[in-house]
Amino acid sequence: MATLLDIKSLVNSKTETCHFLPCEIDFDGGAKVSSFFIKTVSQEFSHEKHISATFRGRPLKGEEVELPTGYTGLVVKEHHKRSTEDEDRNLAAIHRFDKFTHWNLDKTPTPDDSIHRALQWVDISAALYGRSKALTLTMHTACWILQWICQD
Amino acid sequence: MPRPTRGKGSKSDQVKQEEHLQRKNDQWIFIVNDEVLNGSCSKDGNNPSLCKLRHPRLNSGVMYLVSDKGTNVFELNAFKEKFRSWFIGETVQRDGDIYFTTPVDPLFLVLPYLINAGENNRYMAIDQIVLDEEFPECHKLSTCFGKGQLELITDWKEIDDEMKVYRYNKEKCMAWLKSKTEAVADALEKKNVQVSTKGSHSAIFIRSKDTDNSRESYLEFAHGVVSDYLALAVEKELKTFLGLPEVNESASTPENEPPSKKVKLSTDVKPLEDYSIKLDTKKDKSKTGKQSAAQKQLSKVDKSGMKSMMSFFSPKS
Repeated sequence: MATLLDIKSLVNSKTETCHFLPCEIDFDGGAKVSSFFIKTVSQEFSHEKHISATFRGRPLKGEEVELPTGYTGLVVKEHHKRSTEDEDRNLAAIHRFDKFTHWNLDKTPTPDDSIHRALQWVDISAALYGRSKALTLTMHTACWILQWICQD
Repeated sequence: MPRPTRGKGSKSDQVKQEEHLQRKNDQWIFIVNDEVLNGSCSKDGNNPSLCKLRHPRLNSGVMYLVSDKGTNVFELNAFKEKFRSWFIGETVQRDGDIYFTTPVDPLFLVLPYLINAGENNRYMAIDQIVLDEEFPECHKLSTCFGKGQLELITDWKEIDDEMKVYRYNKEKCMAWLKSKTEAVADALEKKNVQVSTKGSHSAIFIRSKDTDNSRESYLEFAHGVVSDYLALAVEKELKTFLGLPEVNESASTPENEPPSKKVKLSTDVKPLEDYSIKLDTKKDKSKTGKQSAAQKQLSKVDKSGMKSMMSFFSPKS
């Protein structure tokens, strides 16, 4: 049994606006987001990138977070639950996004927010992976040859 | 694959709970590398799959994303915060986790197999080396190496044009790991990541000068990052190979950090006032002191030859 990520469904998917909220809503499904939440979003005066909104009377402060270059956001849904454990699981990508709004509860967003620190890993892991296989390869062989020369 | 079998009936509650959890989560947020998408949009491309592979450090199964032709392996990182949910368009998604993929060098994943196979000092083909009954999908690993990649950490022999056999080479591996560590240290330095643990740091403060972010502390931190993919023994070998000092945590902490709280050395520490004791005696007193007239009368009754009420209900011996 494998878990497959169905990417072909992306062709029919559209870009959606995504808001990352600082609260847990115990519900999955439709809601009047644009008429009750998006309406409250306003620009902050202090900083051109910062925005504020209210949700259920709570003040939210947020900013738009661009995904790291070379990355795409996906909303992935499992349409059908498999009935046996031996069946393959199919996850279908239903929406895509390239940025989202990150909201803090009454706290101005800073680069110290955990989401930014988590995304930092993207760059560091890229270094660990090596930018391109060919490049690292030549680098490694060079290292290796150098070491041999030094040993002799 | 061995799987735990569920008891019939007796665990139905647990099953229900599981179903409840599963029912709640049928939608997730992924942030994936474009390579995952690009490779698969071609006509004959298969979909990338999520599979469980042995983690080199933890030695247990961890989810990885393998791209369609098995040429790229990605780690799945979960970003979880306690109170998070999503608005996606005109919908609410309860699950506030973000799963993002980062490419991982497949050499890290085969390293434990290589070391294991290298013990008998024989040359073997890669699909002979990467065998795991517990994680059968590990065979996907043998196809994801670029040309000459495996040779970075192995000695190899060419049997014919198609077939190559490999043997783990420790010195090569260390050189490879060193270059990895240095690359990470460079990235950390470039990103100006705070690596020292001394004092507190914040983006709001204007940093005077990062004096303690020396090259060595970056290297040490990078070694820690790389070690997340290495077995303990390899981690130690790399440390000596890099010439990093052995960390003596107990010695280094008291100098750099302010004393948190005075540590009481005597083990026999008792609170000066113990209110619980007082409470207990009070209870006892009230028990003996306050008795209703009926209770007093009862206590005067001769109970010899009487059975206690409870004995009638206890199982017969």
